[in-house]
Amino acid sequence: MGKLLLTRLASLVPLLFLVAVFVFFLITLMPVDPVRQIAGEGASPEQLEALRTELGYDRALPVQLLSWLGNAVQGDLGTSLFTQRGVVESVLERLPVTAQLVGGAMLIALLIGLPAGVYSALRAGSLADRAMTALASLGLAMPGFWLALLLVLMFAVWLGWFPVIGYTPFGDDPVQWARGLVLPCLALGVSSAAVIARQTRSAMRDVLQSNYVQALRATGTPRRRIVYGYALRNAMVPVLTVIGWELTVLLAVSFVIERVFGIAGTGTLLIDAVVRNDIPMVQGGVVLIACIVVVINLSVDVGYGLLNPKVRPQ
Amino acid sequence: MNGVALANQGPAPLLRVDRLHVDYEVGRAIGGWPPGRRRTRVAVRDVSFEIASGETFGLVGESGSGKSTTGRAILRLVTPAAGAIAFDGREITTLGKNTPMWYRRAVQVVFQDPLASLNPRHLVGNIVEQAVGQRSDAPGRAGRRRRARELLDQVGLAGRHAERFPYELSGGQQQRVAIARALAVDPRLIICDEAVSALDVSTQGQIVNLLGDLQRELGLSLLFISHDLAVVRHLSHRVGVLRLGELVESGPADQVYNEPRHPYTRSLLDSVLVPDPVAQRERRLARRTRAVPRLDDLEEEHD
Amino acid sequence: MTDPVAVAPGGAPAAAADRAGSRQWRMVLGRLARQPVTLCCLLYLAVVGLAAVAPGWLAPHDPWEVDLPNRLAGPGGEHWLGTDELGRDQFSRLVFGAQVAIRASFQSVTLALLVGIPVGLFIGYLGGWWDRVTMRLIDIVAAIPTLLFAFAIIALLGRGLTNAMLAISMVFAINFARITRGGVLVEREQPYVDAGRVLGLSRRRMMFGQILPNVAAPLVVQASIFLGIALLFEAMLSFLGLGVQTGQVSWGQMLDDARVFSAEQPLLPVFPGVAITLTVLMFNLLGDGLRDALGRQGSAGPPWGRDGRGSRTRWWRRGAGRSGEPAGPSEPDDDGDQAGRAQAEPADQRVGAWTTGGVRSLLEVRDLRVAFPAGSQGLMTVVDGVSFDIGDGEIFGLVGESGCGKTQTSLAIAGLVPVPGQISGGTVRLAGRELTGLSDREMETVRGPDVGMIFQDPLAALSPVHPVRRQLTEPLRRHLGLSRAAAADRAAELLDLVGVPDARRRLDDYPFQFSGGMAQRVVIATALACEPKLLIADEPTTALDVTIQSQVLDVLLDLRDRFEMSIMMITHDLGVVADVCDRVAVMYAGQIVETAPVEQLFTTPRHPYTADLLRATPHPDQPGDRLPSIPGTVPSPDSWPAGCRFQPRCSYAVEACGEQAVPLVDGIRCLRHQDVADMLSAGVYR
Repeated sequence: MGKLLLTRLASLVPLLFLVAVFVFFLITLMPVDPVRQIAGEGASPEQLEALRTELGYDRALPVQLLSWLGNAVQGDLGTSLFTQRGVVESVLERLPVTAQLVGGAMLIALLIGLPAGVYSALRAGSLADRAMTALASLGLAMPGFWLALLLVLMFAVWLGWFPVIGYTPFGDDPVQWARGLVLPCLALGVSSAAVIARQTRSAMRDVLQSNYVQALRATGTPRRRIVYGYALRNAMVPVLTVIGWELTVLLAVSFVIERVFGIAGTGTLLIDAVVRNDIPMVQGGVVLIACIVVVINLSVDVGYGLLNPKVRPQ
Repeated sequence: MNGVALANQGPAPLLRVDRLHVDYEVGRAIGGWPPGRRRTRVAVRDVSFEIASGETFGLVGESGSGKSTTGRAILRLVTPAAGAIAFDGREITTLGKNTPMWYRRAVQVVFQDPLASLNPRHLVGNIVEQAVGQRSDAPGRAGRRRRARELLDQVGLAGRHAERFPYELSGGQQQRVAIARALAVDPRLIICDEAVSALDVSTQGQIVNLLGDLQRELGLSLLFISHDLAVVRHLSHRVGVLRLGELVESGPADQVYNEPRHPYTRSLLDSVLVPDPVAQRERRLARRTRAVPRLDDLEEEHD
Repeated sequence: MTDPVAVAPGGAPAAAADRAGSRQWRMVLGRLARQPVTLCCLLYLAVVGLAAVAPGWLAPHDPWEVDLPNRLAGPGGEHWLGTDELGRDQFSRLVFGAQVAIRASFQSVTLALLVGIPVGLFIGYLGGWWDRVTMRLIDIVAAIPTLLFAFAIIALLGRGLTNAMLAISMVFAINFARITRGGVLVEREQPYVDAGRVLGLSRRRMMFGQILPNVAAPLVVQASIFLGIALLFEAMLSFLGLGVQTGQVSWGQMLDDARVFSAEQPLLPVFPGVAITLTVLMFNLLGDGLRDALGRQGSAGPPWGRDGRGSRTRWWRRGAGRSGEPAGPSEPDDDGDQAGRAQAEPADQRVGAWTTGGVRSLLEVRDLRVAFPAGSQGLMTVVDGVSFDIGDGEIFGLVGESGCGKTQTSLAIAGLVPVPGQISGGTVRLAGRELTGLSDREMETVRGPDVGMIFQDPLAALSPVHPVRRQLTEPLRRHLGLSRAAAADRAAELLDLVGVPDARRRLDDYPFQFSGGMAQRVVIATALACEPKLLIADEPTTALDVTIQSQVLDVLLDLRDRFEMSIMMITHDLGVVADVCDRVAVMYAGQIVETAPVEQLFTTPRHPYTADLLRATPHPDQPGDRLPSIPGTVPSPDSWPAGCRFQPRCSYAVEACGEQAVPLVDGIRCLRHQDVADMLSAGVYR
């Protein structure tokens, strides 16, 4: 197992390096001048030149690349043009809020999706199964931010059970913290719950058709034992892959959900940067988020190895 | 290849395989990032044999013996690591990346799984017409169609079968289509890779007989690859026995089957179950009392 | 009439491909037309499409017409869905929003298809460095969440929907390339691709003519789903104010506006959201419909059925209630022929046909029938009135070709006929106990201690993610109540007994670490864990090499003696029958055609099919020229001929053979078996 972790970790380094290179070229090779974007419409040529020198865009491309990568290795992904603070510092400051949102949403998604999927597979073709499938289709189609609007309207504005906006740190008031997170996590998690339910259902159905389930039945193993002792673990192998994807999706969609609930997380930071043409902030933010995604994928891979002995290195 | 003396008398062989060596990649180091080292295993090691014009050469062996790999090397579907393959006196391992059409027309193949070897999205007629289109003298549209019908007729299928999808035919009929496709380019050698293994006993005979008839009629050479010693015996003039990538024995079929020289051939023949209870019980007794080499070891080895 | 193809314009392959293509599309369209949900989707999408093409035509108002007195009006009257904060007509704005949504979806997906599919085909088919480099690039882009990627592009190129959708299109293209490549990698291993290469087809024809049609189905489905996802992204970006700019209407933008005024008019955010959800839902459902129409029909559920009553359902109980009339009320669609056949052979008339010759019989199977539902035609019988006995300690062979019903017979005995199949008649008695009426839960106490089973593919019969210890100790702990440690000890003993070297250590190995022969030994050990009275072995050596085959058969013979059990050996291989069986039943087209002790069957076969099968089996000691073969093919269960089922292929058949069902009398189901026996003994083969 340690070997698997090591090989995966080793493969991470070049990938992260290439992501940094890719983002660099994405910015520099676009048919637009980043300096002009940053400066805005009204800037004079002299102002442009001054800004270009200040930001280092006047240097030769290889020099720019090397300095970008060199700084990146030291944990410096640039400085925001507006707040004058380091990108890494700014993002890391906001990340815990985002992580809580994503974590809570995934928890909800798993708590709903896994049991629903298993139940549905065991009752394939029944009314319950069809209802679950229909609900899952609906959950997939519903935009999270719309659901968020509706939830706020109903549970916060009308019923007043939860705060309409805002985020309270856990340290300030744990109860308020939890109340503030319920609606955002629910809005965020519903579509993932649908995806996980669908995937669990189809994986479970496939597994139940397999020869080893028949072989287990032939030894008189009771159904419950077959389902929960054998089939579930086999079915989790493809579901885990989907959970990994969903974590990435949740990370991105949380940016939008933050907006609805007025939570100042990573999303707000980045969207503000996009609106203000804060290119260094966007550039660094993208690389940093990509790093997080890569780490998520790595954990999924390792989990995959735990589930499926075949992919462990021999 | 002129310097090599011919091993057997008579005319030059149609196909000569000389010390063929094939490796196959078993994967790359796990992680795959950066591209891991290539890990290879030997599939075929120093295999040499010849097939004369109009002859059937049977290649038998268990799974993992490299029999199919040998066939694929001759078909240029895998690249040999070493050794020579000469067809009609012309060396073909040195041909480079692209295979010339003359060789593609000269050597054809019939695979084990008849359904999978026909494109599921094409009608039987298309499949054969497409093959006819690969002839050097490819006829026009109508001619192709006519020729395809003739070929289907030749393998014992009716015109109506041309308008069917492969999955609408029975296994035997599918294999007939595969044979018609192979015949479309007037090949001189057909490699039958387990061509009858997936068929039911009652249809297996039909295909074996069809291949035999076509061989006599058209003067074809056949390389008959199979794990089934009984079928190989039935069809082959000469036989080679592969084990773990090595040709342990080859010779005329009668000799290999009646006086096997290699202990592996012996144990292989002993293991064949004959459809005769009295004889089989004697064979079982004889086999179990004889000290058999630990075949478990062999099994684990090539697994 | 002249041949339409011969006069059609265009090249032959094109014409031929058209023939195949049109037939296939007709099939797919036919299936789609039978899905009401999909038809609804298409109808809805057609309306949305119309709104996108000609919004002015559908919208009752100008979407930008400000009407402040009527601001934030509720639905009804002149404004069907009410008005927004500026008094603009909500419905008209929704109609115009469709234009933006649909255009963004189709543009991004079309572009992605055009780029992604060729790239995927190319790298998948060529492999090598092209593949590796492209896949690394794809890995990199895939590490950046789509929305974030869109942010980056917007930051650089400025706000606007086109730029954002370009980014999303690129991510889609990568996904299409991945899916295509995955499909190509699977197809590339198919023999038909090798056959095309051997024919020297050009690369272009291999990729686009041979492989693409076979990988197209998942792409079509994915395209439909991506249309919905693109729409979601458009809405999301417009909601954030990064998408459409002023002068355009977007559903997402409408939601953003509604957010502010939802306290005043709570219905304001409802309708744009419904429009988005409904449209995305329709794209997804269309994708599901396409998947069903393009793919194989999967009716997969749990093998014991969702009603929890096992494979036996109500109507079977009705059928069994009237013993002696197995053709129950469930078979009204059958022609009278079948009912007549059933009545022509009342059970008692055939006693003696299957007797075990003095030995006490362990298993008695009488008139067993297994049927599967077959479309609208009702039921398709795959096992049709099978009767036999297996004596104590006997090895009984059930031999037949593919599709003759031998496997379903064995599954029926163990109560494992997969849903929706069912036992439609007959009885199975094991040591005097009737098994057919038992519930699945009751059968769980029979399987294991009384009946064990082994299968053709041993590796598939073991759960791949568990060490073999788990599956091996399962019956020991379940049925014998052993402790964990005692079960492990016993499991190691069992493995040792079936000839797995180093048994104790290998308990913790996973199935993939075993070779085929060793895995089959593990499966045998599992089946024998509770020392069952009857072992059902379904083609246990077919997937194994000859040398391994004889070893596994040796193990089975030794264990039979040691455990004093009976074995039911199901096989297509007469060699296996000759090697291990004491008595044999030959099956053809769902029926037993002959039952005999093994020596008798091989020396004096009585049924023409048995005789033909014996002659058609190649013998390693007999070099020969022509292999005797049986004309025609094995009929499938939906096309069993009337009368004797072998009669169309039989060289002894006379007219009477095709007229009426032939009963099994004294172990032989042939009208002419006397004549045939005379001819065979005189050495006359037809």
